[in-house]
Amino acid sequence: MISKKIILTGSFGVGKTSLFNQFMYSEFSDKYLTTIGVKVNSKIVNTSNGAITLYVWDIAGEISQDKIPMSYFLGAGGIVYVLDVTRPNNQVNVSADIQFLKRILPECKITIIANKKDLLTPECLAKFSSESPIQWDYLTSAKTGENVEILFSDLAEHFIEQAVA
Amino acid sequence: MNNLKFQKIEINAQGFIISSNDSLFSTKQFKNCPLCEWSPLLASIFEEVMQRLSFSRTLEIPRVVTPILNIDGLFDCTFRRVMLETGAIILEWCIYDIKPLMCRRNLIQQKFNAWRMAQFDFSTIKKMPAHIFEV
Repeated sequence: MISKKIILTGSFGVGKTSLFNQFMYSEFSDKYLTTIGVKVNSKIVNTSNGAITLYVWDIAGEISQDKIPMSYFLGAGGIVYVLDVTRPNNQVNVSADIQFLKRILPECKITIIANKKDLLTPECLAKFSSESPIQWDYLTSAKTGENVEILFSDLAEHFIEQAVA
Repeated sequence: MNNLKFQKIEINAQGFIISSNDSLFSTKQFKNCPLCEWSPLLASIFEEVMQRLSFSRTLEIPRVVTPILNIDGLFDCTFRRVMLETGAIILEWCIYDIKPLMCRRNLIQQKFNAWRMAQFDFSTIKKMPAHIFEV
């Protein structure tokens, strides 16, 4: 079976571990617990073209990506960069972070996630979506699970298509 | 890492355990199937390490919180690709138990991150659309 390593990264407190827990175990907790280091788990995702094992690395949040041990990135096929829609100050480094990730992992698929959708009103969300300088790929809520499954399914489809091509 | 308690496991190219000093935990139950089936951490890097890691290099994966072979803890891991005299290539996996060192640091990091999340960073206001704060 095809397998891919995916890294969840971004600043601290943006909801990486909550996304990890929602995807892996369909669980969510409101309690904030700092991740120290790295958590790894795997899940088989079925796609229209077959099954794939996704190894997801949930790594400790850092203000800047260059502070993360480089060894964590070894062999990564995908990066899910998470930001928090409720905390604009964690979005300041996004461009620099993405550039850094593209430089060290030029062949890696990088997906930007705007998380904690459930915490904004529809009006705030609409304004934020239209005016934010950052182009994200998915708007997610680790709390409700909205778009979490879709995110990983789409990644799985991408990797399968890539492997078949 | 020299003064830390650690376990060294040698794994063959098929992923089976060749030897282990079992100083942290017993590997008896993992002898009959590839170790990757028991460890997502190992499974996610095994191929890459066995094919591409230079023989002179040691790969360090620090602060692994995931259970390793069903054992909970906090570990630093190192991986080294070794060529035996027979020409066979094996993987040497060292697992260091760093929990005693990290408990206090975890607590400090938790408090520090929670405090930072509660801060309002005024320096970013000019760089971000003002409406973001109108919640």
